[in-house]
Amino acid sequence: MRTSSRRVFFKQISYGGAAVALSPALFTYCHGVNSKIENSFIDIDGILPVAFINDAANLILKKGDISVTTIEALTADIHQKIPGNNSRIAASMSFPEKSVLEFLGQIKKDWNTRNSKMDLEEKYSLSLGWIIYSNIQDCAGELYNKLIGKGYHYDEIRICQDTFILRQISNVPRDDNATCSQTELSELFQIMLPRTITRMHTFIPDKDNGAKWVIYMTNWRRANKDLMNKYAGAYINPDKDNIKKFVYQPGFYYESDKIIQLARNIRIGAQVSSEEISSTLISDPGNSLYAKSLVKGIQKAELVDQFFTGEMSFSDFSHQISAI
Amino acid sequence: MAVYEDCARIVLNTEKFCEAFKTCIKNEYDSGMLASGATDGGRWAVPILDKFKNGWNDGEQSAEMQQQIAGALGWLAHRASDLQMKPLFEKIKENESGFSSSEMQLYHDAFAMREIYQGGKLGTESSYEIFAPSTLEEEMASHSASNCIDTNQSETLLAYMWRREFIELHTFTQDNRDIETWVDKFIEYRQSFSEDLREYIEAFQNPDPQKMERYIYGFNHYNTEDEIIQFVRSIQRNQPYEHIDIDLAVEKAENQSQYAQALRKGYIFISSANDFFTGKMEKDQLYDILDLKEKYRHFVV
Repeated sequence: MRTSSRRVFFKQISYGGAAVALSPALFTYCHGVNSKIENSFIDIDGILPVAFINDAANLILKKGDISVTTIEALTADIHQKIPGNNSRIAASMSFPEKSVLEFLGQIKKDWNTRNSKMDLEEKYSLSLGWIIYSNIQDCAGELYNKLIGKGYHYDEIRICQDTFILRQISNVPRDDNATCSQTELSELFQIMLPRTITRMHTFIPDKDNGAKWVIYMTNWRRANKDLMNKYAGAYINPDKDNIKKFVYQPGFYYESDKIIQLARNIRIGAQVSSEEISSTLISDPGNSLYAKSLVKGIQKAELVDQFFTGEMSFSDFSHQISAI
Repeated sequence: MAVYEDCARIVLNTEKFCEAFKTCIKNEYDSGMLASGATDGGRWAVPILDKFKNGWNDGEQSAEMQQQIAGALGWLAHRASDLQMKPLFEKIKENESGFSSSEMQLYHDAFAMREIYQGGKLGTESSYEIFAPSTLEEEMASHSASNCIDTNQSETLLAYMWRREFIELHTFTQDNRDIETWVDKFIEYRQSFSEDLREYIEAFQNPDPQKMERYIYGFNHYNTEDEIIQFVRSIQRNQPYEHIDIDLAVEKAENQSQYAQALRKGYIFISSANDFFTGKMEKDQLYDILDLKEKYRHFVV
C-alpha cells in the first residue's frame, strides 16, 4: 500500500490512544523473514527509511572492500544529480525480496551487454537501497502492527520515532543554550520544502492523470504542513512516556548499540576505522531492532556487491541472501 | 511561480475575469501554485477547464473541482513564462557557445527572490510555500530555529523523504504487478536533484556583476517602470493600483521587459481561458492562442 492511499487508510483505522503498558516480550517480534508484502501490511514512511539507509550506506562506504559500482550506488548528495541518491528513496518500492533479487539479476545481465549504463546505475542504486532497507521495513512493520493492535495510532508512533531519530542525527545543537518555539521550528522545516523543490527544478505531474495529481499534491501539502508542526512539537517537547513506549521498551533503538555509535561517529566526522566496523558486525550486532537491521542490511549489501561484480551464481546469491 | 502569483493578482483585481476563476484562486490558491511549478501544463489545462465549464453553475463547486481549475490557471501561467523565456534562451544559445540557460534561469530566480519577494521579507500568498530571508542562505543560518537543530542533517533527511513522497503520489506506485515496469516508471518520475541550491544561494547572496549585466540588465529581464509590473507590485504591497489601466498596461507590455512580456502572455492566456470557460470562445481557438499543436488536443480528464 503506497503512501497516498496509506494515509487515507490509516485515518480509517484509528484505534484511539489508550495507554497500554508494553511487555518486554514485544522484543521478540521480527523474524527476519524478508517478506514485506506477506508479513506486514504497514509500509513505514516518514524519516525513518531515509535515516536508516543513510546510516547503513555510510557504514558500508566507510568499511570499504566493495566495488566502485557499489560505492557510486550508495554515494548520495542532495546537491548533485547522481545515481546514488536513488538508494535513499528506495522505500518507495514495495515488492517481495524474490522479485528484487531477480531484478538485480536482470540488471547484471543488462550491465554486461549494454554500452550505456546510465539507467542501470540508477536501477542498481534503487534495488541496493531496497535490499538494505528491507529488514527494518519488515521489523518496524511488525512492531507497528503490534503497537496499533494495542491501541496506539500509527502517527503517534511514527512522529515519536522520527523525532527521536532527528535528535539522534543532529550533531548536537550548535548552541547548547539555544531555544526555539514549536512555531519557529515548524517554519524552519517548511522553509526547507521550497528549497527541496528548487533542487528538483520542476514538478513532473502524473502523465496518466494530471488533474488528479493536482488534487493529490494539494492534499499532500496540507498533510505535510500538519506533519511538520507535529515533528516540531515532538522535537521541542519530547514525550518521555512515548519514547519509552515506542522506542526503548519495544527495543526499537538503543544509543548504546555499538553499530549505532559507529554510524553516529561517521555522521559527525569522528574517526571510524574499517576494522572497527568489521569486528562490530561479527562480535557485537547490537540489541535493538535498528542495530540488528543495520547489521543485516550491511551483510546483504556486501553480498549484492559480490554477486553484481563477481562470479557468484544467481542461485548461490539468492540462497545466501535469504539466509541472512 | 512568481508569474502565477502576479497573474493571480491580475485575475483577482480585474473585473473582466469570471467569478469562477476568482473563487478557485481565492479558495485553492496553492493548487495553482503547485501546477505553476510543474511541466506538462499543455496537456492538462484545457481539458480541465473543458470538463468543468458547463458544470460550474449547475451544482456543487467541490473543493476538488476548484483545485483542478486553480491548477489549470497555474499551468497557463507556467506556459506563459516558458513561451516567453525559452525561445530567447534558444536564440542566445545559437549565437553564443558556452551559454548556460540553466545559469541564466537560476539568476532569474535569485533576482525574483531579491526584487519580488524582497529577499524573503515578503512571503508568497500561499500558506504552504514559505519564504524567508533564510530561504537562500547556507544552513538557513539567520533563522531563529537554526541553532536548535542540525539544519544540514535534518534537511537532508526531509529532502529525501519529500522526494520519495512525491514519487509515491504517482499512480504507477499502486501497481506492483511487474517490477521492471515499475522501476522504468520510477526513473521517469524520480524528480532528480538536478539543481545545486548552493549556486542559487551564491547568485542571491553574491551575484556576479558580469552575470547580472548579462542575465538581468542586458537581457532587459525586469523593469520596475513597466506599468504591468507596477500594477502587480502595488497590489502585492498593498499600495494603490486603481490608477493603472490594466488593458493599456498589457498593451504596452508587448515591448517592455521580458518579465512584463511574460505577464502579458499570462494575461492573454488566462483571459482567453476565461472566454472559453464562459462560452465565448471555441476550444480550438484557445488551443491556437496557447500555441498547442494537434498532438495536445486529444487529452481529456
